[in-house]
Amino acid sequence: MKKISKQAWLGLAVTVVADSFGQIFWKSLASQLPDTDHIPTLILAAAEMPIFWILAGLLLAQLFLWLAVLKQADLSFAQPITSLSYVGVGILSYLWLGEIWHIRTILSVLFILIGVSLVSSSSSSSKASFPQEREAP
Amino acid sequence: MNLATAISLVLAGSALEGFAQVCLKLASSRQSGAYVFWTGFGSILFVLEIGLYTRALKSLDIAVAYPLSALSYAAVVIAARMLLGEKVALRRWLGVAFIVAGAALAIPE
Repeated sequence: MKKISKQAWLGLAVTVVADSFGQIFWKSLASQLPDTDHIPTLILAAAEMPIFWILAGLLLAQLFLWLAVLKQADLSFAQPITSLSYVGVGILSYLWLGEIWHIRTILSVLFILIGVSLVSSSSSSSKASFPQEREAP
Repeated sequence: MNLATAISLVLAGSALEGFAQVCLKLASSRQSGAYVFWTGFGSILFVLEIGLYTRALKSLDIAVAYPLSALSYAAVVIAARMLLGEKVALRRWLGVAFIVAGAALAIPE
């Protein structure tokens, strides 16, 4: 495992916070969209909302930040840390949106955190073998 | 939109992300035309996922939708196993089971 620099820790922390706020913005955007299934109408309506562009900018910045973090940290280390955004979203949705997280939902997040840690921390046991690259028997 | 439809949209979005990640993985081992094809196809799937998730969020609390979207982690593991032939360790399957159980708990009674 690579030694994690202070910059990588800072990047991870910012990623978790940005992801949490991004979800809250996303919910706010979705709530303001017109009640229709007509996709062009939805896209045009979204494009007229400032929050759409804030969210798009945030997602783009997050992508570049994530790439920068991965240059300094192993994916198997960084990925489970970012799942802390499930906790961040819980806190922010309670504070900003007034959503109530029941015991059942908190348990759900705990299970997901354990699951993401297990998925990310187990080592790769093989190289991917692409179907078209396999040798004929 | 009723609750079941909204939840179905999140589930479909998670499945799409599994396929999208497979496309990006395929792109990573290709060059020129094939690289552009798989990257483009994967990106289209991501955009579709964003659309489905946004539509679902209109009807679902974030407290339900966001934990449910964690199923994308499970979808990636399953898609990598089935479509790329990657070997998946028992520990990783255990993780998938925890994520599925966690997502199931997020669904309101």
